[in-house]
Amino acid sequence: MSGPGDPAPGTLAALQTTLAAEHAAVWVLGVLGGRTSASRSGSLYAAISAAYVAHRSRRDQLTSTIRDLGSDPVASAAAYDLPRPIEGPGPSDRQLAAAALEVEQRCAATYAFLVAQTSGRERGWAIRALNEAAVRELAFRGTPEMFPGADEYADR
Amino acid sequence: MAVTGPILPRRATLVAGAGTVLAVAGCDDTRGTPRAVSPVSSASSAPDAVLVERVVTALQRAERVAAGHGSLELAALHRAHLEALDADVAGGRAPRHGPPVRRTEQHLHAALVAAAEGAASGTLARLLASMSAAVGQRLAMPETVA
Repeated sequence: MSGPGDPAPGTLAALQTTLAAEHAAVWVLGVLGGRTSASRSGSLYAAISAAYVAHRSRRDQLTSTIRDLGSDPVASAAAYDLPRPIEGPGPSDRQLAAAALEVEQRCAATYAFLVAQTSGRERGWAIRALNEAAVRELAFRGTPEMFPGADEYADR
Repeated sequence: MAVTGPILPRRATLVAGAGTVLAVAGCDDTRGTPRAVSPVSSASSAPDAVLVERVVTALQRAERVAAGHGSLELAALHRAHLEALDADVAGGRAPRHGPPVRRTEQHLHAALVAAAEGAASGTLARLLASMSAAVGQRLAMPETVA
């Protein structure tokens, strides 16, 4: 996204916040993928796998950008809470999809935050990430929103 | 691996991150609190006035085209976006044989992305980016945007 140089005030902190969210998304989606049956729930498995790959790529891009800006990227935690409980040994597709949907919605809010805190290439990156997360929501039984990542406008 | 409830005492960064986002957004005095937001007025953001005017024109056109093709949910989306920009809903008649909805939405999506990239105000950029994502969702649903 960016080369060496002094980032605008707030940019680095916002990038670190987004990276922290990506670490969590990658971890949670990995857990959800491990609980999804590829043979019984092929489309959900494919959607979770695609989301996992997308967030892993975003995580790596952010890590590289933060290093280019001369900072140490925030590290991943050893483990994370799931956004919602996954009950029992064989969670339902509905439970898994709802958890994945929540991951994407929270990431969309984080990307929208990054849009506000950045400019130039970093902002362009955040806009694309927000758009992609919003579309991925649809694969997890999400319904189209009025303001993805900024739902306070819908509540006016 | 048991995944019911908290895995470790440490809170999920995703959860904390979202909280941080809301907390930071709440400190933005140009936007108000996340649950009591005001429309982003072009008059209140002079450097972005021309940019907002272009977006409003594109939204009004898309609203007319969607309404003209009977895409009521899409037209409602554009009206909500116009209201968020504190702009009037299109007053003109819906064209009977206007351009295809999908092409109009694709143009609108590109315009919203470009406007979000170029906005001087971070608050406005965030709103425009969110609008572009909303249109992007409809474009990803063939049954919504024919």
